[in-house]
Amino acid sequence: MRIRVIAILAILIFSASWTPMTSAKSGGEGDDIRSMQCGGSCHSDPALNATSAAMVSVEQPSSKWAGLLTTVTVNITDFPESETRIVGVFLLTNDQGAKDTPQHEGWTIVADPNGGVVNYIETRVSNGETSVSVTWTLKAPVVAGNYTLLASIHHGGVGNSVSIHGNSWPISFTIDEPPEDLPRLASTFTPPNTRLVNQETIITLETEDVTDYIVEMRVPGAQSVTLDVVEGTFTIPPAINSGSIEWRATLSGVGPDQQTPWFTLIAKEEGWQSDRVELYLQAFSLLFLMTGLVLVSNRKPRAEKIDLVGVMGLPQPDITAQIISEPQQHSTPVVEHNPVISTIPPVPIEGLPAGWTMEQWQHYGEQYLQGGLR
Amino acid sequence: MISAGTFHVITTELVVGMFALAGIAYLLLVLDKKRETADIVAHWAMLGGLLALPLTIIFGIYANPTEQISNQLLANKVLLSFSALGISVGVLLNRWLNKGPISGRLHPSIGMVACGMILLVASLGGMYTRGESLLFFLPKDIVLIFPVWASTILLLMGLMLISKSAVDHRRG
Repeated sequence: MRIRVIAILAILIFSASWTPMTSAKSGGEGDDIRSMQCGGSCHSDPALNATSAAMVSVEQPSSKWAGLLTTVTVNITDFPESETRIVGVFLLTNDQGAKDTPQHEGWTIVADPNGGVVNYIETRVSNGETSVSVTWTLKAPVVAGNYTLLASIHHGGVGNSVSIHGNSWPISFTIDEPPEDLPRLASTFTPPNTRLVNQETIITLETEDVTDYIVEMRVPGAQSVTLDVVEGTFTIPPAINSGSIEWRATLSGVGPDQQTPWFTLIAKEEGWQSDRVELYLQAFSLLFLMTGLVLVSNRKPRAEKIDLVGVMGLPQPDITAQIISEPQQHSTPVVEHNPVISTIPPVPIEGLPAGWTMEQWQHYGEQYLQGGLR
Repeated sequence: MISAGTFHVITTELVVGMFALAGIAYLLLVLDKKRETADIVAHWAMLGGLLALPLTIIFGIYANPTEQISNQLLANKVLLSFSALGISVGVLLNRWLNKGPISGRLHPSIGMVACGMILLVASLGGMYTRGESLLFFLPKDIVLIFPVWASTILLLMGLMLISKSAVDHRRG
């Protein structure tokens, strides 16, 4: 016995040491708000990861006014060979692994590169490409001061046997209080991130100290076009396919002209959607229906119960004859020839124990008579 | 702050472990092996899983903060988990009302169905978060959402069945 235990332990230890200590999550983990400590929980221990050969860098924010919108772009170049070509990108404020999301430093994520509002996104490096750039739209902290941002990436290699990570150098910069008469977007304004295909988007700019607007729109990397703006409202034409367009506004007023960052608007195909109320009502209906069906499934025929009560005091052969003959639907009235009877222990003169059914007696009666269940 | 998604994972592990154990015990009952032990293990393990299941569902709902359910997998997870919850409650109530082990193969078979549904829900979770599942061959993009009136009828039917069962039980 001891040898067997030792052998099993040895196999377990061997298998544990043979299994790779780290492995990339080949399907990714999904966009979310994540600290770099996620490297320990969702992408294995960072200490055991391989270091990425990719170069990661963060561009300086497009504007540095406290409480105003800005964009931060992360560039990844020299992306190495990877099976899935999925890369997870973190926007962080330090490399300590905890309390390192931009929100911890007072930043607000207005839009991530995938149209959400999280600091960790997953994107795919196109086949044949070795670089990718992703841009976050942020609202700067309301308190002026010195701030730091950095980016981190996670990805798999060939075979996804090892998880790989890499960090950018941190960038430091100063956030200043905006001048009082600076033409700006109001702090309450949030640009839309997503829209449906074949749907135009009407945006009304909420501004402060602005007298005139110029709004430009472009497909990323292409020439921009100017849109008509009427009292701060403009319309972005519908997208025919999924993809993104960018827009920005030039705001004029008493103070110096200000240009907003390029805001990304992602068009998505209309997917499947369901109303929560409908779904949960159906879910609760199924809950009660299933419970009811299962409860009913165990209901015994009433005739059997009446017989049980009625025959409790009768001599034993008659009891068993009645009980056994009913479920088996035998046409022969001669009970003595039924071999099943011999397997049922005799019922005591005082009847079945309280709460017992004949079925239970059939299975556990013998044990009861021997004193095991008293 | 620890996110609802993390708690969802923790409670899911609890539910899956309990139901996996219950499933094995119900299988033993179906095979008529080790009846006494299997009966106890199956129902207590299922009860344990059942206690953790509402927490799992609640944390799962909070882990997806959008107002709309925009993924078929999530909708299937919700419907399957509530159905499994209903079956499990029914199985445990039957066992409790019976005041002893229930003979036959129907009862443990229903218990196994509930366990299988829970494991299927967990598998769908893997498909949703990692894009991988051993049950890749199952169609996961088909969801049957009933209109409110149909769900209401189902709900009434369920309540009627439960009350009828309760009345029958009282009559003995």
